[in-house]
Amino acid sequence: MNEIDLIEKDSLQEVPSFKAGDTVSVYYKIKEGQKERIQIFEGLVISRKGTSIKETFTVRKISYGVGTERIFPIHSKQIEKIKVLRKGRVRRAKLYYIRGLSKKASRIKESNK
Amino acid sequence: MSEDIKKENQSEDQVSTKEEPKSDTSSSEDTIVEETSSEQTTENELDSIKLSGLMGTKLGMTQSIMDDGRVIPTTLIQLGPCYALEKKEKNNKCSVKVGFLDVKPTSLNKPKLSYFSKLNVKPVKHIKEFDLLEDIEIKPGAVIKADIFKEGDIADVTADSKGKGFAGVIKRHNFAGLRHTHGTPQNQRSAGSIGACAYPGRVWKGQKMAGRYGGKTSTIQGLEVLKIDIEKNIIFIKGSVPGSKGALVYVNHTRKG
Repeated sequence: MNEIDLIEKDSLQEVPSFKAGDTVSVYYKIKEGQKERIQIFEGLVISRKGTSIKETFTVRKISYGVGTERIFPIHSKQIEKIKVLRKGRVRRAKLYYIRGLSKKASRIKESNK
Repeated sequence: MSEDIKKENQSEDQVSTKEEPKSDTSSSEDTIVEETSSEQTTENELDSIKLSGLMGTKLGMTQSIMDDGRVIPTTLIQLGPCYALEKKEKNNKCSVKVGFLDVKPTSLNKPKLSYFSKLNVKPVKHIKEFDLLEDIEIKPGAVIKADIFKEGDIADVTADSKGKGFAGVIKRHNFAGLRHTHGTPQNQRSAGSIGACAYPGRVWKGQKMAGRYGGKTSTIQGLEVLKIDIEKNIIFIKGSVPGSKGALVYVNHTRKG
């Protein structure tokens, strides 16, 4: 383990285990002036990429009929918590194909595990 | 080689080592090492030295996630361990010769080795002079740490850039190249015209062309110091700096303002 890995390790946050296909809700801190509030972004995880401090994940949801995606750094201090709502059974690590599907076709079966 | 080290260590603190018995070599060496290390942490450490810069090795790049959620590209530079060698004075300006990277005494020639033995310091690979910003006494062999910088400082970083070999004009001089349609022949990455006709009848000096690119000393100015790890002697710099991982890097306080 080199020096950079050790330094990165110091600033890693604890995150629950989840992968592409799972449905999560992300509690994200938003600062407005002096006030701070928490916004919940709930949707399907379609990818996780990067390693260590550089890791990010993409959450996709349909809001008012418009597909919306948001990329979060997984170890961001702005994320208060990540709640895993549902484990999905998928055969790919990246679910970008979901973008082209209708709502009915993009349903994902729940994992039995 | 071991004798060389022993000699130097002995000369470093003569009082304690003169009394050591010569026959028991291994134990005496151990004690010497311990003594010198303890001395370095107590006496040989400069608490507040204001230097214009310091040198180190580039460890590589990572990302820093700030408290407000920003993700910032960061370069880590290990500053040292650097040692003060000698103080120099010229035109009412003071500077310090700073040494970096310990080397084996056997890898140096005699003139270089004698320079270090005269000062009673460990032999080092790289020596560079840095300006002293306030006039203080310098003890040869004193350790200079990364705390000459503080969070929020602006730094200039100098290093040899990565060699790119023989590069074309698009990479080397940011030319646009030729267009890709409307009958352009197979030379989309060429430079185009290099001058006029009868006047000047030659190519101007300094015409930008393809050639060797990179592998030259270059400086990036105005880089912010994000954080300093004094324990590990590592400085966190915002953005990228020249050179490959493990390259020798000079970090200076900025020249601008």
